[in-house]
Amino acid sequence: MKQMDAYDRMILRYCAGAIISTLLTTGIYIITVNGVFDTAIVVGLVILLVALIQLIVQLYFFLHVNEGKKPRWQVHSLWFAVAMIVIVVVGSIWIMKNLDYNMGMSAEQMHQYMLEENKKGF
Amino acid sequence: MNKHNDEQSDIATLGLWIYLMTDMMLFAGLFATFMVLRGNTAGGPAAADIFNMPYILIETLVLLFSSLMCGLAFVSAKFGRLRDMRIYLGLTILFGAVFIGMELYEFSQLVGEGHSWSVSAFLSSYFTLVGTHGLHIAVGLLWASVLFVRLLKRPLNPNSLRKLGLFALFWHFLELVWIFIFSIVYLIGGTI
Repeated sequence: MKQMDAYDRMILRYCAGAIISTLLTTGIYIITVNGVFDTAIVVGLVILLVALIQLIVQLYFFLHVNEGKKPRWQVHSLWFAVAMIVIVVVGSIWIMKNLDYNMGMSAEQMHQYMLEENKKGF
Repeated sequence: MNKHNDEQSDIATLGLWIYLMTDMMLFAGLFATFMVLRGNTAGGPAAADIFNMPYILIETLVLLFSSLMCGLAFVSAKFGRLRDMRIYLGLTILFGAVFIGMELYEFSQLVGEGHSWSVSAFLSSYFTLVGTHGLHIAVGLLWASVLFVRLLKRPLNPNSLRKLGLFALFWHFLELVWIFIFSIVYLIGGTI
């Protein structure tokens, strides 16, 4: 009987995680598609925030990352991976935007420039 | 479970976990590429023009349901409920297959309308990112099917429980990656 209870608790835990995830997904979908927020940057930040909440919800309810008895290296390596991802993604966007800015050419100008350079031969 | 099995299980989990972390690096690179290139449409369609948003929402919920079923299969196996485990694992595979089918249909629609990966940098990065995730799902389905057949024949033991646990970890990870594809590629890409 006691084991039965533990089983039900585990099942409920997964279902709770799935229901929270479904609500968050559907919620952010409705907000985004109906254009509740006007400013692009606000929409982007809200979407990213909800994605992060979902990440934490699923890590907790599905992957049980937070359970005390589990080895801590899982959490440590996860943080390391997150740091690397932030460096790669934010760094790429930063550098490419910076290059774009310093280039100071529109796409059309760039096209003309390339054509002229090509005429000179290699 | 004896000591030897415990140790082996720890090593296997460590191995898969390290693989998943490096896989995250792969996806980070593809996400970065997509975010840098998503404006470079080269006269082709932009993200907002081609995505069928309600279809994507259903696709997302299908994968979430598959992930839930996978978790329930693992819990059932842990408590020795073989029959429940088979049903849940079967549903995991079924909904995973529906997901990959929906994705392939979406891709074929895009290519059929002339929005293939060769049109622009945006579409190249889109197909690479979403396609890589789809490839992972396809491999996961193969893995789950092999597990399913093996678990049909043999009674549950610590070894098979461990194997199911490793698969569950992989499957939940793919669902986590999809959350970010849904948010960044479809929601942000499709509206901003």
